[in-house]
Amino acid sequence: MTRLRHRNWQGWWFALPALLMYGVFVLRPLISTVQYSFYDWDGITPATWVGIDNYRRVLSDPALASSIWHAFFLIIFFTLAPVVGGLFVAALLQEIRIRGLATAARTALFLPQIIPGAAAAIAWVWMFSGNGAVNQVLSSIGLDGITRAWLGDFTWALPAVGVIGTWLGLGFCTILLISGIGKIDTAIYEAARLDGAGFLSTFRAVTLPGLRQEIGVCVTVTIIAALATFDIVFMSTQGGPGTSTMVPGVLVYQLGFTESRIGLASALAIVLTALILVVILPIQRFFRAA
Amino acid sequence: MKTSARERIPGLALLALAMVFSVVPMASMLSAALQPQGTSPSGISWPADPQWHNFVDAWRVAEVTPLLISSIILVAGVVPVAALIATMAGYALGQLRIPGGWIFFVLLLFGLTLPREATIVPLYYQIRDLGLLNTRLGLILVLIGTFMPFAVFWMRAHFLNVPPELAEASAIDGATSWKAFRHIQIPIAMPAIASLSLLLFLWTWNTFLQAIVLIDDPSRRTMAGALQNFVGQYSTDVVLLNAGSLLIMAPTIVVFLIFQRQFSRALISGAVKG
Amino acid sequence: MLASLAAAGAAACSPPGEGGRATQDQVAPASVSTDIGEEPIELTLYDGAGLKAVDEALIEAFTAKHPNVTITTRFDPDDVQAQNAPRVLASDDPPDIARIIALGDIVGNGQLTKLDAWAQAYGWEIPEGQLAMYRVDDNGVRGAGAQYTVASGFVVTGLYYNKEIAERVGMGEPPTTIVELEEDLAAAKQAGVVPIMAGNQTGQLIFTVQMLLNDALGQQALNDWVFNAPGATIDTSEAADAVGTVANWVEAGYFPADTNGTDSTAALGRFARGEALFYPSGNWDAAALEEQMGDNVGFVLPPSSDGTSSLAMSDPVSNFAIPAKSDAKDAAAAFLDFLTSEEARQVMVDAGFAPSGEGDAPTTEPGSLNAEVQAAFADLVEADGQVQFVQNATSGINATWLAQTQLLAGGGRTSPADLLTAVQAKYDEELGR
Repeated sequence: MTRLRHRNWQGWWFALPALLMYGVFVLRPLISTVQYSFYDWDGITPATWVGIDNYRRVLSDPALASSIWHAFFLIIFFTLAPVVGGLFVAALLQEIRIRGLATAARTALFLPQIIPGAAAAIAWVWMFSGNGAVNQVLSSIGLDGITRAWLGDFTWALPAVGVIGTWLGLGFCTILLISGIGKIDTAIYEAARLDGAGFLSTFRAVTLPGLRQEIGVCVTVTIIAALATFDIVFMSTQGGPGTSTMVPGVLVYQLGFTESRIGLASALAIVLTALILVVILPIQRFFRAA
Repeated sequence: MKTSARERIPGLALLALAMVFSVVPMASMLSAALQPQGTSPSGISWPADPQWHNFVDAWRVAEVTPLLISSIILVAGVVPVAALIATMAGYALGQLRIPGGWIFFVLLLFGLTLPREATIVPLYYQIRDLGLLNTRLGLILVLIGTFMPFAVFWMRAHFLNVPPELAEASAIDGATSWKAFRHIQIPIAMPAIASLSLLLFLWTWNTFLQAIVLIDDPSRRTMAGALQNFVGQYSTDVVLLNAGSLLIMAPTIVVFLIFQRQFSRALISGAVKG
Repeated sequence: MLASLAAAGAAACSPPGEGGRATQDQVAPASVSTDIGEEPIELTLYDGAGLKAVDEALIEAFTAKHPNVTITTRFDPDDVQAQNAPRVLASDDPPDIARIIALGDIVGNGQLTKLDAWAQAYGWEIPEGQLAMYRVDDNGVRGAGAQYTVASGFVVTGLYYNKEIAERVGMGEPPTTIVELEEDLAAAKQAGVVPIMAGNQTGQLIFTVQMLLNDALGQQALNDWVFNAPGATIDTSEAADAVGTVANWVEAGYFPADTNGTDSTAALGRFARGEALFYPSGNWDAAALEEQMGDNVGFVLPPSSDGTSSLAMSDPVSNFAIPAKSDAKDAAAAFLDFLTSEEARQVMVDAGFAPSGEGDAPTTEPGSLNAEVQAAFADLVEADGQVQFVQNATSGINATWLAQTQLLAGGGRTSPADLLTAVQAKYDEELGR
């Protein structure tokens, strides 16, 4: 018993390299961000201490409130759709067992995940444009009435940005979940089939519980992607039209890099981080509770 | 033999739909990229006279070759180190359950929630103070650190599912932690490490923000940086823009297709069952 | 690694941003020379990637005259260059020639060299309207004070029009007054063509907005605003009337219904395909339009109320400065001097830009669209009518203009007065007023 405990302390040697890299290149800059958030600083000339002024401004700015609401709205597209879709696709691949099809499906679904955000944005801006493929498809099925330039529509731009998020997240979730299904004992599936269980009941009784951990990872990662989204919005709409797709990540970037108001940007980044934490912690607890 | 045809058809249809959804944007780009230069294409349609030489022109103007080499160097610097130390840390947290490990885990979880923009400005000054500005080493170190939260999180999830009897058995055998890790745990973890490496490769390859800020010389940056450059220079030509974007995406797609076979084999191989 | 962690931790305790400032002599050198000698000199030029081709052509022409100088280039994507510039200038190895967009801010940081000594030594004669774009006073207000930059050339904006459609809707000559323009717009609408093409996903409505603002407020007021003159405001009733005209045009359906979902690339394509009568834009689109439309496209300066004054948005292509920490300033100044020479002016015109300085109009292919653009620019300089882009008034104002003009184009989502109040509030906030 004592030997085991001794060995456990030695286990820290395994964690040390990762901890060091993480500490120096993430935690230490993060502490600096906290520090900057109490200063008025343009990034070049000496900074002035302003106390909690930056936070006061961040919290009283109406533009911020709406950007946070947008980020939460995006969770529907970034998290719900890819996790549900990924679960079904992964389970179907497990069920169908046509080797070539499984490989083809995996390849196709993972494709969005492997291209740079800039390329994804270029592709979708083109898809969503007035003479893009989305409208082409809608027209071809007789829905001419609803065609529009999607990213320029005050009502539809945000859901359209969300669709890009779904597109990016679906492959990521599917791959994670397929890997999880691979860990479930195939004998359980065989047993379920012998019992005469259909696809849906097998899915509910076997697949879903067996994937708790992986679903937890998927939900956590995609919620963060939704709340901290930057690339897609920045590359596709810049927050427009008006401010209808503005999200906190883009605001942080605009303040910090375009306007060189490092202090204000830092305060917003810290508020955003705190907010994400508040959302993620209960979710994490839920999926950890076995 | 197992599933009835009636159950299969909606499933296949759903799957087909998901696959089409995933590839249509790329098809749309390809259709635009093959139109004559200087025209303004519309929707998806196979051109009567596909202009394949658009890709040759785009390769030249986007200066793809040096960026390809640069990205390979960055990946070679980031992925093996990041995967190894993340696996070690995942083992420590998920399997050895080191005392106080929850603190590290909470810190990592916290890191997982961090938007990249939250640390980028301080990182610039820190890398400058270390004398690593404008070097690939600086970018490599930053990326390894940045990827740690997800990488450790992912490996920890794997090690949590490995039965602890395995470690206990090896402890009784008298194997030291390192030996047990090296010869028992790593082989079992290979599928998880493989999928992690794939993700790390892609994230390194597609890194944009850090590359722009930490390296001034575009030819030392990543492929994603080239795309941005390309957008700036050729935004008035939809055709060349799409051709260039596809070219810049092509290496990742090719590498992925090659990697995919190993990746699938690793998943299928019974190693996961332990 | 532990040591660096400790060092980094210690550094975290002091306030950020200390040190690294240029000395007085670096900002305003005591002695300068127009003779750059025969010894080999290496310069670095830093610019936006979109200008690579034209910069390289300028460098080739310059080094042909000064074979002892080699100029290496460093490019960032255009929008990133503006953001990176303050940090690149503050680094230990800054470039010797750099494009500066947020001129007031960067001069305020003490990062640029005053050029007055060279201006005197070379005897630079720069038209007043252009010189204003190069000057910053001690309070960071642009338009007056010491000279810090020289432009490689200028962009010029105006109205492209489709000649075939013009004939069809009975537009004899391009409009010279706003009233004529409104008649043409109404005629186009009547004939079922889009009167004004604008890709407002990327903010092209601003060309129309500023065209009317220029006319309503005049050059001085707008340049003062862009140059951050004390007390400058755009939140006036004259400005609201001008924006109100655009709002009326939106309501009348003079812009494409999906303008907010159309980017500038798509807008250009749609205009080229004959979808619209007018396309307000700049010289940078001339080559693509000529290629796609041939003789069917023309270019004129924006009309005005009285039909005589010529005002148009016209900014430097690259507003080149010499960083304070450069160690080869005489050679860099020689390059800036070269920018207003006949050779450099020809290089710029060949690349489709308007030339820096003044002199005989460089040669263009007669009858080409570029020739039309160059003629328009010559008229503009003659009339001293260059007005700065309102989007460049502060580093962050462009995002506000974009969002607000999208609301305007959305029809009734904002009022002209609210739009201007929002823009002015952002302006004051950024300038700490």
